[in-house]
Amino acid sequence: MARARGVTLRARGVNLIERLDLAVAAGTIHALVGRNGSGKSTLLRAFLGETDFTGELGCIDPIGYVPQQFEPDATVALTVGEFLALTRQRSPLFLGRSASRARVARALDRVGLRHLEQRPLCELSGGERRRVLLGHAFEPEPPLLLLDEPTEGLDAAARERFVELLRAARAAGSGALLVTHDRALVAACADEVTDLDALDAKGAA
Amino acid sequence: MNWFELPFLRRGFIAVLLIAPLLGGLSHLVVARRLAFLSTALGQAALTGLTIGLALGEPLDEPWGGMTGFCLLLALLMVWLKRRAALPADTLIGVFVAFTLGLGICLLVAVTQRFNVHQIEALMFGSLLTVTHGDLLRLALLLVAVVVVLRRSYNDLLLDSVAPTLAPAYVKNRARLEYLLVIVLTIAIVASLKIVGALLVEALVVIPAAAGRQLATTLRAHLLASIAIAFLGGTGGLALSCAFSVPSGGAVVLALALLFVLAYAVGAVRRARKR
Repeated sequence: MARARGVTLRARGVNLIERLDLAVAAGTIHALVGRNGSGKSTLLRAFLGETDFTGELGCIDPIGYVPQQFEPDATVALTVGEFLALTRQRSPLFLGRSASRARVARALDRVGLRHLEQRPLCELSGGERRRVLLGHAFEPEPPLLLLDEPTEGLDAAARERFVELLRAARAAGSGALLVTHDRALVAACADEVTDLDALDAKGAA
Repeated sequence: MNWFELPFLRRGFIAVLLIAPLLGGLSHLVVARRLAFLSTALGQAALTGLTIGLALGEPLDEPWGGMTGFCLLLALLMVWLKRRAALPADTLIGVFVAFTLGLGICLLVAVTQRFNVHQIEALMFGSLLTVTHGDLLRLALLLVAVVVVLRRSYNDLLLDSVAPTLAPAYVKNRARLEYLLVIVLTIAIVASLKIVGALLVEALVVIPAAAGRQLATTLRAHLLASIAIAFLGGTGGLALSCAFSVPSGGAVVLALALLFVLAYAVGAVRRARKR
């Protein structure tokens, strides 16, 4: 699903990650842990082709992605339903979203937010926004999930629901690369763990 | 007097009818992608492009080569640099605005020795009198082309604009999309110059979306409101321009600004009621 071989990532003149080997198999959850600034998010972005790296890196497409940062732009009026429709229909959104209505409803049902479909995206709370992102990433279940701090800002019930989603995706054969500081989450879900702090030969400035 | 019987006014009205969906329709993408300042730069670059075209021997009534060529070159260069430079976009564009204006002023002095400056003024501030049937046909074809081109990329473009951290996983060729939008925007701006004028054209790609945002909560409503506001501003501007014999560009921008204030007031009242 996703594989890194001898991958080195540099940022701000420092080697964040050096010669990393990692593989995410189908139907497994691979947790990526490490202190702040250890390169976890940068590695996910490298999988998306957003960061330069050396070595071999590859992953399957399509991906379900939950970024750590998500501040939807408020200069354009966009409801939650319209936002989810953007990747769920071919026809341009300005012609309406009848083509994706059922798929959008399924994504929101996955995270119990059907009632927010008509709400402006920029008016949601941080936790609600994260749940919308989870619905976006998990419906339909993609072969590979890249999850960057997916539980940040979630209340206990939403966190529990996320764990169920993640386990269901694994059971359905999805592979997941999970970046988190949440030790309990790692203990509850992860099949494999890569600790970036434990990798030796950290580059110095 | 029935104003509509005046041929130039009729042409001006048809031009507004075409420019409203073109620039008003693009305006929500312009504000979402923070291209407002770039649009200002393009308007001014058109002036410089015009003088380059005239210096190279283009006729004053059809100066499209110099304007389109120079604006496209500059737009692509700005995007290319913006994607690579460690400078904030507005700093970078500020440098370009200064450069093009400086170049334009120097060339303008050289060119005006051969041309009547009033004819160039028409392009700077916009003039109804100069709109021809050829201009209208060009605008109509361009409107169709823009809809066809953006139809396929629209959803990707919008996702990339409103959720830039999420888009890399779902949108392929994001750089290509950015170039595509800027090319479309440049051509649309150049084609609309005769009505609004080089120095004021930015207003038509910014104010409709800014005002429309005050009234709309869904994307579709935002788009329709932007087009409606561009249309009202355009026709209101034409009326002002005729009534007071002022340049159409200035009048259109004044009408748009007034509409923005009204929309903002309506939006503020609505928000206050919701609380």
